[in-house]
Amino acid sequence: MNRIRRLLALAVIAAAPLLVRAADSSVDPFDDDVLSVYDPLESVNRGIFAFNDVVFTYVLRPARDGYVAAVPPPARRGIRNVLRNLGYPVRLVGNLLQGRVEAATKETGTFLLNTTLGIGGLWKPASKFEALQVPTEDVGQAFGAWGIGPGPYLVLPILGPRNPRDLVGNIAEGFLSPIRYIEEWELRTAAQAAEVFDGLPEQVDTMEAIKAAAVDPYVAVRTAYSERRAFLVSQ
Amino acid sequence: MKRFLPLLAFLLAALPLRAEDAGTFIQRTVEDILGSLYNADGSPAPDLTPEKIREVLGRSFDYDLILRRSLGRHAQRLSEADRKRIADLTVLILVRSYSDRFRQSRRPEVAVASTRPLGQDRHEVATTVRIDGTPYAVAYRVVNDSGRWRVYDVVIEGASLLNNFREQFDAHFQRSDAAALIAQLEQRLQAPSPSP
Repeated sequence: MNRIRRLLALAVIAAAPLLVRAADSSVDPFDDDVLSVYDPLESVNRGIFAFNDVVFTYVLRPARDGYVAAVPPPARRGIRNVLRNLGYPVRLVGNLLQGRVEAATKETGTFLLNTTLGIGGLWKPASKFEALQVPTEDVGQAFGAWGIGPGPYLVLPILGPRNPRDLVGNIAEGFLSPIRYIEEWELRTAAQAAEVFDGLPEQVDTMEAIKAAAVDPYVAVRTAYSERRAFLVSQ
Repeated sequence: MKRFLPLLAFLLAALPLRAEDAGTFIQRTVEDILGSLYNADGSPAPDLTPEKIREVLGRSFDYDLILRRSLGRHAQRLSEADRKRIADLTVLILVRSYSDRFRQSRRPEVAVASTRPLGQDRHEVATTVRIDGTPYAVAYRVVNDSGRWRVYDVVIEGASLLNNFREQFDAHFQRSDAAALIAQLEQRLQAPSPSP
């Protein structure tokens, strides 16, 4: 009996390298940077995603069509440039929170050039200078760079995909935006509306492309959003 | 011996000095693809159809590998016929949905930025694509298959096409089967293309 046990023990020891190899073969050598998304609220998220899809189809898409038809491309470009210029405090703080003094300095240079020579940011003379080009940073990215994880995946009504880390970042950015501090309510409302309409064409196009190509649009958006945010944090 | 020297010289001249690296492959591939899809003045080629885009991309993209990686562990449970049908439908849907974007835009500018190894015979080639002056980070993941580079993934601003389909297929197979997937893909293909 002892002899059989010893043989069994020997067999296990002899098979160990094979077992290890078998376990290794289960590791997919093509799994490059595969991101696992934590989505404990999936059923709720899917419900909000379906609601957002209705809003997208019956509100946002017609709004995008109206905006594109009413505002010619040069005017849309000008609006975008001005809004991007006004986003300078967010990018500045995003860089400073990560200790990126050089990038913050370049952002400041870009802001000054575009505000003065570009007449309030309508044009982007700074884009001609390669040395001033830096990746766009936001507060959520800074939180990520500090090592704060994204947390559970969320789908918010109207706003769409978010994670708690970026949501807190977005709230902070709301306080950094100069638009918030415009005193005349008419001007402030117009600027806020411009912010909403400015992003619509790309948002609608992206959503249409995802819906047209996806087997499961919810999973497609969740994966793309999560991977993109992780990519921006890693930059 | 003298008779063989010219032959030897000819054979040596015919050999490439060194194998093409991944970055050079991507640069050449992108030039080839854009050259087929756009006219010399940068406008989209008039005969730009989803079939043509599929054919052009197929010269350097390994559709079969992309689908096998996308299906992951579920690939083993599928019949060869189902795998082929899913591959054909997926490629057609992808190409159709993106061909509108090609038609709308002028020829983008593409510059190879860097290359990093991912594992044995695999590299990631990072490029910067400028569309109407706006830069986008696009990386191509390539595998060297017996001396021939093939693209098996495209990562746009950090979002991997392969990972995205893998997540979607995985979610599908957790609650349904291949027949339902094929029916869904066929339905998607029959639906009118979204207007740009």
